[in-house]
Amino acid sequence: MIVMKIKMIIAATVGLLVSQVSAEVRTYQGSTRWATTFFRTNKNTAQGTTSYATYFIVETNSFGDVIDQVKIDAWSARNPTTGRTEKLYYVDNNFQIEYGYFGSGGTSVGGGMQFDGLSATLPFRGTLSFGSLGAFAMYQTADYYPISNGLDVTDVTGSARLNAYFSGNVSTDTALNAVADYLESRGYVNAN
Amino acid sequence: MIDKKTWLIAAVIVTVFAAGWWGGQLMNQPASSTSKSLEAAKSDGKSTSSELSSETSRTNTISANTAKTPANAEAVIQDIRSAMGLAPQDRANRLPKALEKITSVQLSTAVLATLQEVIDAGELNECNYVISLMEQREEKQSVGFLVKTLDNEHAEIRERALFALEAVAGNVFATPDAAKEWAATWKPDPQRAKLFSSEGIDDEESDTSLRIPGPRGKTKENPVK
Repeated sequence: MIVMKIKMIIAATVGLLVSQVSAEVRTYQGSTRWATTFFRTNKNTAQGTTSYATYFIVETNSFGDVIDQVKIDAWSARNPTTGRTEKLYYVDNNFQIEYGYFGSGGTSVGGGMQFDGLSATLPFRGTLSFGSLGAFAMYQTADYYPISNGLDVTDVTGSARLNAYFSGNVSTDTALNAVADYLESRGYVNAN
Repeated sequence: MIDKKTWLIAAVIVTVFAAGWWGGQLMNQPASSTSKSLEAAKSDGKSTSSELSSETSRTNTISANTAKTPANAEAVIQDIRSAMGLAPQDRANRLPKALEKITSVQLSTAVLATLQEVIDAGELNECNYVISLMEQREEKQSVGFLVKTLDNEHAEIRERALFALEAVAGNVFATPDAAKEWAATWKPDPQRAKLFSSEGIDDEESDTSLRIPGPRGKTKENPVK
């Protein structure tokens, strides 16, 4: 009888241990706006401004460490060649995120994001609610990026709020698939 | 009877669990204490600098928050209308820059009417831009504007407005009517309204060469290459 009880305690303890190391995925939905300049042979050849609906999927462990992250951009635009509206989404697997507690500007959390292909960090600030980041805003930046492959991102801004529908104690892939399914249900096509 | 091996396993598991829990509490402490000190300082109306840990102060890479001078709404409206009158190529460059200035003006009837003109023009990229700007506000007027856009004649504009309302709500709506129903009772969150306002943005600077503290006060190498 006592052995049984101890085995139950062991099972409960193991369960608690597992729950301690379980990860939580939080998806922030918002939008980003990018202003870019395209260069050719050191000449300013074109400028563009784009707006994306953006999903930031961030997986954290029980200590709040970011252990995985991915960004999904979705956009619609008219193809000038065909005249048709194209609805696309792009899964940006190179998205990196870092948190830092800058503690200024009247906010309690700040940090940065890195887009590997562009070798730059986007600063953001956010608000904590019960120790968790509930929303964040990106800073407007000017000439923050180095010119990379003829593309100079001259201005980036955006924000996002926590979306409960795509958040929970799931894997990053599960959340990613849920967002992709949702976008496809609205006629968006994977551009990867 | 319980053999020694069972007791030993039970003791080891309990010890590991207790150590893990204690470690977690310790790791959580720096961040939560920093947040608490910030909240306390804010409520006292005093400077937060003395309350911050030396680690946080050292890595304070964003300069002091200085309120951005609000743009003149009339000038912003004129700028937007002026850009809308340009040839398509010039308009594509000028209009987003002009629209960006609405982040620092109040959403008066005149401002909203001007934004509605951009929506009514039906240029998809420009409509998406306006909707993105509205989504990044936390006000009754901005949500009302998005709700109205749910009835736009163009399907892609209606869909983008629905995305925006879902972003504000932090949830997914099965139908546009569900979004309208939600919006009817929605109230702005003052904390988010302050976060999404453009106060202080002009004077903020980042030094990406510094090491920044990661979650719960752990230091991580800045990932800039």
